[in-house]
Amino acid sequence: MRPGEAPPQPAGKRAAGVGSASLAAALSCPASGGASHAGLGRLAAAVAAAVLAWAVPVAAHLGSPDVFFEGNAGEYRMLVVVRMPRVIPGIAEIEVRPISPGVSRVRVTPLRIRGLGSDLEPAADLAQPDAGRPGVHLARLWLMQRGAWKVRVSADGDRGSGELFVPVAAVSNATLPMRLSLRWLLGTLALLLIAGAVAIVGASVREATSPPGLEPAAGLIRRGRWAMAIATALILGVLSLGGLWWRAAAANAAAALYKTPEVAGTLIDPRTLSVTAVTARGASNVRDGSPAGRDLVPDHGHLMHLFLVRSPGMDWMAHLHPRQTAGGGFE
Amino acid sequence: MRAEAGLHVQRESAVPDRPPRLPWPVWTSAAATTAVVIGSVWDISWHVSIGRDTFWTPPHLLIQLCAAIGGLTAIHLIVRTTWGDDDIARAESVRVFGLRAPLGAFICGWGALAMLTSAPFDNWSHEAYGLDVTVVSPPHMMLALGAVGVIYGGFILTIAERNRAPAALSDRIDTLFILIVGVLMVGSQAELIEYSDKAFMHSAIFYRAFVVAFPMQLMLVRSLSSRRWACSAAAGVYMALSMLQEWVLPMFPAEQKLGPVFQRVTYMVPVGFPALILAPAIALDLLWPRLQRLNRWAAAALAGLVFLTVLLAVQWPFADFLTSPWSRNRLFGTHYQMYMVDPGTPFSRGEFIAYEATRAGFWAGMAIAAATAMMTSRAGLAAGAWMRRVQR
Repeated sequence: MRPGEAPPQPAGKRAAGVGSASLAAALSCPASGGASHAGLGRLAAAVAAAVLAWAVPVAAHLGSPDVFFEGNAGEYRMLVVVRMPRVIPGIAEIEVRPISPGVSRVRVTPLRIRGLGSDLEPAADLAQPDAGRPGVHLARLWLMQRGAWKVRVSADGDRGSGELFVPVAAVSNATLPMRLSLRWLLGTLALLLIAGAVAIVGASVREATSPPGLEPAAGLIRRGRWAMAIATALILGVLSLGGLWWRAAAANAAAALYKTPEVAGTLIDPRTLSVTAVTARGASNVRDGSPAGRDLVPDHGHLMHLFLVRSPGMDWMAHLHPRQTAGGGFE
Repeated sequence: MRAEAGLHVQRESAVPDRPPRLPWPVWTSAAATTAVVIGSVWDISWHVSIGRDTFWTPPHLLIQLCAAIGGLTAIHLIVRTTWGDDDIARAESVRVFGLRAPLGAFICGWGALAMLTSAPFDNWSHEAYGLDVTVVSPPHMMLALGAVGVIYGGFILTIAERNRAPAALSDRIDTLFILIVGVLMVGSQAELIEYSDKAFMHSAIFYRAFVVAFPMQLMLVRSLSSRRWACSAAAGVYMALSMLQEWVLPMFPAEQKLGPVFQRVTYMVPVGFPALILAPAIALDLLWPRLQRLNRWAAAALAGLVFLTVLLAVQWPFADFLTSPWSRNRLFGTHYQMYMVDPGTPFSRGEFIAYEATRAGFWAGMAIAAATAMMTSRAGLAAGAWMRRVQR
């Protein structure tokens, strides 16, 4: 949130690559000169294969919702990492690493950035020292609503107290599929419950009302079987209705997933570019009739960062912060 | 007395008489009901006052205690009856999957298993869709269904004993049963909290919610008990306990541990002043001699309509009082606020919300409420009639 601080770093899905890919690509380029260079081509391919075999895999994060923040909490320089949950409401993991010495206690508190609830704070969580990494403090942050949040990190130590705020965007990105093991476990338990319910209904009709010590008569056994058949049909009906309910709830959750707004740019005059964030159809970024702009979360102190790159030369770049206009757009 | 294949002949058994004493399943049933109801009320209060919870919070432990009581009761009775040498117990049992035990034991076990199953189901639901923000969700309903299984399993264990018991013992079981139903009604209101707010008391949704559980419970207790004022007594227990939680919970301090905090709350928020169920309960008690002369469908239709009409007649004007400044005191507790409720909404300001957008929608909702009341009354009568005959 503070201008001049390092921005949250984009990161994300791990994208594996090879460190020496460019060399391999260069070696495996189609050679000019036709068949006379076929041997050279084979050699290049062999070298490329050898290099690839020795290549070291590297990883990068792309499109991660996690937030990496460095800033000052009073006299203390701190590095904060907030690992966001994939669904909101959910629990984020926060890792605070004081760079400056002397920090004895770290507390964290999530607050909405603005609007209702931004002025009343819940009880702060004491971040616990990580046994495996000296100096690192860990805590869990409960984020119960989607939107723009800030995490207040308070530090106490031998140079007094200080605090800093880390902006985080709390959005649901996905719904997690059920693990196969859990699917089997729940499926087995469900079958046991269904079979148990049907058997209990059968016993209740067949035997439960008979005086103690009497064996069930043929008529009761027959009625018991009918009752079990009806119970099976009823249970399947109820389960079907439950399935409809579940699918409706899942559809609601899917509709609430955050989708990055598309951006449309229009050159109003030679010096003014109008930029509008357009929410994709079906996405629920616009909720409760709120304007699309409400879904934008300040990043590095600005709602929008615009990067202009001259093409095809790719020799010039500008980083601008468009101003929000009264209509919700940006210029 | 194991049933033999092909033997369908009813034959008398020389079963020795038991000495008359209060059967222990009465107490496990009462303990399971009390644990789950107190746990549910406390859990809801926890959510709206403190916010953050874990698997191990005291209210959750109480709910789990209900499952533990049900499961252990079932295991004990099944093992003792199936593999023990108690001929009386075997004579008083039914057979399920080749195992023998009283019917209530199997229902208790089923309920405990359902409650157990709801735990990983709910956990996955949190991971997939987010932490709970509603009470009425499929995993929660599974948990509630399991709790109902444990409670009614205990009922049936008790009722079977009562149906075989001498009159004096039957009378004592009757009293305990009325108490248990009263406690269960408190739990029903806790489950309905999303629709039982005073803001909805001039909407059909409030009445649609209440007729799901209450007519069934009242007609069940009415069918089973021989006491003149059985419904009224159960409703009285419900109202007394509901008022007790309304007065006691705010005495304990609370601190919000979840954001956003829309209102600072320094006390445990109760689940709300009880609905005036006592009035329809008295009406049903008065009507009971007449209902007994009707066939069950007609009796259920009349009972359902009477329940809804009387509740509407008393609750509608009472809602005006509950939204007035006169009720904003410790007695009625309408000034208590949940921390996550916007202070600008009708819920906080003490105003009514028209849940149904149109007058036609309201009347359609009331028609659904009437039909539901009739059906749940019928279910209560059927369950009561069946339970009166349960012997095992």
